[in-house]
Amino acid sequence: MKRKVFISFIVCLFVSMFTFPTQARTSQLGYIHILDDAQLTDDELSALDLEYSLFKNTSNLEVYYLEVESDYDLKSQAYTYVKDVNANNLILALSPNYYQFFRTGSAVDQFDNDDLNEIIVAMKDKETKYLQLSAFWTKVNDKLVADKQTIPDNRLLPRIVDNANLLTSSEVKDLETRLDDISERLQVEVAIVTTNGTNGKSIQTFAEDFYVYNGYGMTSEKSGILLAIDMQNRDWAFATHGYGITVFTDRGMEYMEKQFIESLSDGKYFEGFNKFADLCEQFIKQAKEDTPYDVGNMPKSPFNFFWIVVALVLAAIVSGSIVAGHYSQLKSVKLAGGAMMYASKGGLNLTDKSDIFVTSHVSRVPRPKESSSSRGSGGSSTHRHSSGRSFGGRSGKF
Amino acid sequence: MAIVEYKCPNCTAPISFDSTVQKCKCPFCETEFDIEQIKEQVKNIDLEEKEDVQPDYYRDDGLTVYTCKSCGGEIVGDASLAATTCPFCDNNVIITSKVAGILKPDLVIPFKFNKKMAEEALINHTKGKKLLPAVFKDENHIQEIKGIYVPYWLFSSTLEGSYQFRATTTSVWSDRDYNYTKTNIYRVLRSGNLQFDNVPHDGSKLMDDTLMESIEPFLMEDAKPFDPAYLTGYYANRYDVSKEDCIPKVESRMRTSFSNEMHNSVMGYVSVAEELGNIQPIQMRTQYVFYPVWLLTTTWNGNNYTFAMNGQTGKFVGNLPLDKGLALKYFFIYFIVLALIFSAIAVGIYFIF
Repeated sequence: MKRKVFISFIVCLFVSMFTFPTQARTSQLGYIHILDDAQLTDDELSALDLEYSLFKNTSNLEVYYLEVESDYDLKSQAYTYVKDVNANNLILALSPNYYQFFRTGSAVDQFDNDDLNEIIVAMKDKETKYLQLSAFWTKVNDKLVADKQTIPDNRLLPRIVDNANLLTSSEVKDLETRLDDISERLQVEVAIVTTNGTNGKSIQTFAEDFYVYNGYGMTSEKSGILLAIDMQNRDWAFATHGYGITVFTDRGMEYMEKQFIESLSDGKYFEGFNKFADLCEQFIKQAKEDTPYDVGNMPKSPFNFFWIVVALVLAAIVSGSIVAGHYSQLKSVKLAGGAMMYASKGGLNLTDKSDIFVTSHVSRVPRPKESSSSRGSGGSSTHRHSSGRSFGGRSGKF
Repeated sequence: MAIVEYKCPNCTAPISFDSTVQKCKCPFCETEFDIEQIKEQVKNIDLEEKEDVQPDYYRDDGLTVYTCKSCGGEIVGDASLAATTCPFCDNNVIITSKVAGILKPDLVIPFKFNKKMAEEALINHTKGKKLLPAVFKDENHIQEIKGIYVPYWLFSSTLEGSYQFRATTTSVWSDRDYNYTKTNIYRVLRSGNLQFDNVPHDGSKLMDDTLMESIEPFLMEDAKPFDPAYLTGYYANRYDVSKEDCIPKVESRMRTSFSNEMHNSVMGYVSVAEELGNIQPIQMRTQYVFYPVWLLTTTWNGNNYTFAMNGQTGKFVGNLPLDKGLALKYFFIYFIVLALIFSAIAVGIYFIF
């Protein structure tokens, strides 16, 4: 009898290992969630957390390994664990039968499909969960390191790089001279790059990468502004860095856009780039007076030659009238029109006169509202580049 | 007696009306005579003759021929000719039947301006005309200067009528969200009358109506009861346009003035629109008069130019030719100067604001 009870107890224990619900576990820092805590020991989990925190110091990417219970809607399940969906996240979500990667923010640019496949491949042949997860972090880290090229100390390229061949060589030379002059004189880098495609990167990221990895920027702050033009998608972007962020406020960049983007749309690239250079010089000078162009302090729009045309038209009209007056001197034979010169002295004798109020009505017209600028208070908004640097900027289509 | 030739009671030379002294003056013995005295001469002429006088003979072209009593020369004229000078002996000839009986004018305004004054007036007329070709003054040839008594119909009437207008006033104000406009609508009624005295219309087919209207007004204060003696030394024609034919134009002038005065009587509104306008049928009183007109024709550059001067007031009219080149020159000079000034203002405003 005792032996029977003991065996059934062992059997139950054995069976329970497979039939009882397993305990889900989340790591201390929150980046790992596994369904079966038996697969990872505490020590292993801590070690993984440590690896992750070391990796986190050198990057602004949040990387998650999340096991979820249901095969349906992996995204919603995984996102419950994500701390900030607006940050740069790389999420690997695994359900019993599927896995899926989710990328937000800069992760989209940093990890393409090939990269993700490589990560999976690296994980697949590992026997234990610990080894799998370890391979996951390592692979992610490797990828980021590979991306993180060295940032040069000095500028590697000229201030005008025309990869899309929009300008003649003499135009390039002229622009280079101009840009060199402004940049050296005012100690703020003003540069232009044109390209035929950005390899899937957003134009803003392209501009920032180009700026950082080619060493643009004057003084220790690496101050400057880069104008990037992508002919393939017809995108443009400003990337501002260092003191350039102060010089080129959001409202200021909005103004600059209006001044020269039309020239680009019209295909007048040399003209547009020159206007850009002029505007940069104007803005930098203004900022050096401690009052950068911003809401409430905008440059006067350039003189509109329309008013000269108005002046000419007015002159023609007045001249014409005067000459017409001289001409009428010559014509004296005309009908009198009326007969008032023969009317009796008293003029019209009114026998009845009444002014009767009939009705009144009121109409109204809505007053035009001041167009609200997106930033009522001004300033420059910034964001973080993958290198950790802060950039300001603006982009659009042309 | 078809023709009367007035003679100086002193020396029997042909006498004519002198506008400077406003009397008949003999050009030879220089004696002046009042109209009353000269009138006596032709007292025996029955000015109440009713039949139209027979000319000496009719020509094929509709003109008639008279014989000068002094020199026997032929004087040619149309059916309306009433006074002229003999082209041969300068005698002043009056065809009295054209101004007698039912053709007798009620009044005449004698000439106050003489021929010399007319010539001077022409010269003055060309002065100060910026766009007149410079050579016109010197080169134009006077073809003819004639002092003519033009037959006029005078019309007098008191117009009566009622008008109705829709007038508005507005006020504007604003609040934060809207601009408001309040419009008040009024019905405005006016009734009244306006008296017109002696509105003239020329009764001669030959005289251009617009030209004759241009030298108006004639002032009744100088009008005298008619006597053929006033015509001596001048040309005159009896009317050949009936008063009925003149009435529409005159009525139109009167109506226009009446309507304008009605509109002008509505004051203090932003907008005035006429809704109804009604004038009573017009009763016209008429008179038949002779008014003095100096007519000048000149030629220049192959064109004829006609000028007229009011023989009573001296008002001188006549269209002058245009020097196109000069007009263009003036235009360009004004344009350049103004263009510079306005452009400078535009630029100045830009820099100030």
